[in-house]
Amino acid sequence: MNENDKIPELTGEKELENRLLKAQKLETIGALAGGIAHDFNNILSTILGYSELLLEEVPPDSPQSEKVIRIISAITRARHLTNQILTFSRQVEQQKIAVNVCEVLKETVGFVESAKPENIIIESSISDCRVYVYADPTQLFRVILNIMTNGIQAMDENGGVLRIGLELTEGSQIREKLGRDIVADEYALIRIEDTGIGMEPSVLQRIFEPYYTTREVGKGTGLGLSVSHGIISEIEGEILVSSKKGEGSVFSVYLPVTGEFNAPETLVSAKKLLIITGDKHESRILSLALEKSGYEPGFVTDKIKLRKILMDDYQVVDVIIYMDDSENIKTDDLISIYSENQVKAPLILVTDTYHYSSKEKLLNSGIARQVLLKPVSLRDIHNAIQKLLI
Amino acid sequence: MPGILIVEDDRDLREMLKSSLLKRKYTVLEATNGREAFLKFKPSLVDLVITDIIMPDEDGLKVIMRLKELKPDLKIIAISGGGKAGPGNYLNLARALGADDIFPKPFSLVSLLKKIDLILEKEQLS
Repeated sequence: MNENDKIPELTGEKELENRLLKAQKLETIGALAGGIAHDFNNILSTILGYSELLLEEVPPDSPQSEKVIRIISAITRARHLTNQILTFSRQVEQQKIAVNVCEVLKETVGFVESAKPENIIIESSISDCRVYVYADPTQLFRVILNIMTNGIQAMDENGGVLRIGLELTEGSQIREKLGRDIVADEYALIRIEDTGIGMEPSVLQRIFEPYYTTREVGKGTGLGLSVSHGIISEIEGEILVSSKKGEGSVFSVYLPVTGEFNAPETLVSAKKLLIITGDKHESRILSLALEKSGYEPGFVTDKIKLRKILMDDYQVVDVIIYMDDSENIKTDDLISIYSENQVKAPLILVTDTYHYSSKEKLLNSGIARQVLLKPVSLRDIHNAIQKLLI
Repeated sequence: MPGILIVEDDRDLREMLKSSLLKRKYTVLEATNGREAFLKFKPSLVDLVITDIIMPDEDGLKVIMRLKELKPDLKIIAISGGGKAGPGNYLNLARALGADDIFPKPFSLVSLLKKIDLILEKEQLS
């Protein structure tokens, strides 16, 4: 499918005016939603605080304690939601570095490949691997993943082809198309194209609005594309969409190419990181980002390897990051490995279920010195490492 | 016992911080915004300030700057839940201005209390 023969190309005064109105509408919704999220975070702090106090007062392993843990876990979900809303309203600061777009795309494609239904074929034509943009790699991953997932869902019934491509375009040539100021000589254009059910113009008008969804209730939050829009706007890029009912959709993500390869941030001293994880793909993205910031990250997903690394040369691991999705290495394993091998490296716990008892164990034993709640950004990890060094 | 000034415009949150700090035998002062904080601040009484960032009537960044001027060795913890320029932004700015630690909302009360104990313990030892 060719972008040009299916979109009534986005030019002319009328179209530009339309685009402007849409942008203003999103801006207004963003300001409102951001304000609510801010107040909501205050309220959540109070609920979380009292729940924690309550948890200390009830006997552990009692039915009451179980209920309080459920409250805390619900608060974690709410926190995730306010975070998404703040991202949409561009009120969350992204940890921007020079990112190789090609690497992020390949990681995302690899991730989607492993999870896609059989009747969907992914074709990627990513050739230029020297395109750098100034962005938060984990957020960029999120955007691409979101658009690809939407494409796959649009082909749910009959299967189809999902094409993903990366090319360079000149800023001067897309000025009109983007309808915003051009901030770079060159733009990376990521095209994600599906042969799915397509969208009506009325749907197309509203897809970036938060909570706008065409899916059945419970099948998606309706926040994905609005969050993506916030992330891309924040790095002065643009997402354009064209679609035809019954034929498919094309998402074009334009990102200003950065000329400078920014130097890694200066670190106090910790360099070698060991990430204990269950999800290699997401962690690889994180690792790319950490490398760019000057760290030397490594991964481990099972106990035997972890023991081996810590026994052989544990002196060279400065900080261990423990993601709570690591199925093969449980809290108790970690505690025994730490004591058996007299591991000195401080540990950062990254969790989203906020499973209080397991967290407490790691904290009380003095192993976990920092706790981060998902979703974590590169900045969160960076700050946590810096705190460990003070 | 060390004294703590809470500067926070959300009443419930302020109340929660106050009651849990009183329970730990700290002396507690409260203010609902920056302006009130300047009026209530007593260098001899207050060892640590917990301040929100986005508040009507003088924000938390001003609180940090002004109070640090009045008492350079004052300990400060900034808490914030997102606003116009983003919670990360403001909190990092707060740190740059001299806050000893920053907690994005919603924060864990237990972690905050532990941190306060730690900071003030160290303070008393030195």
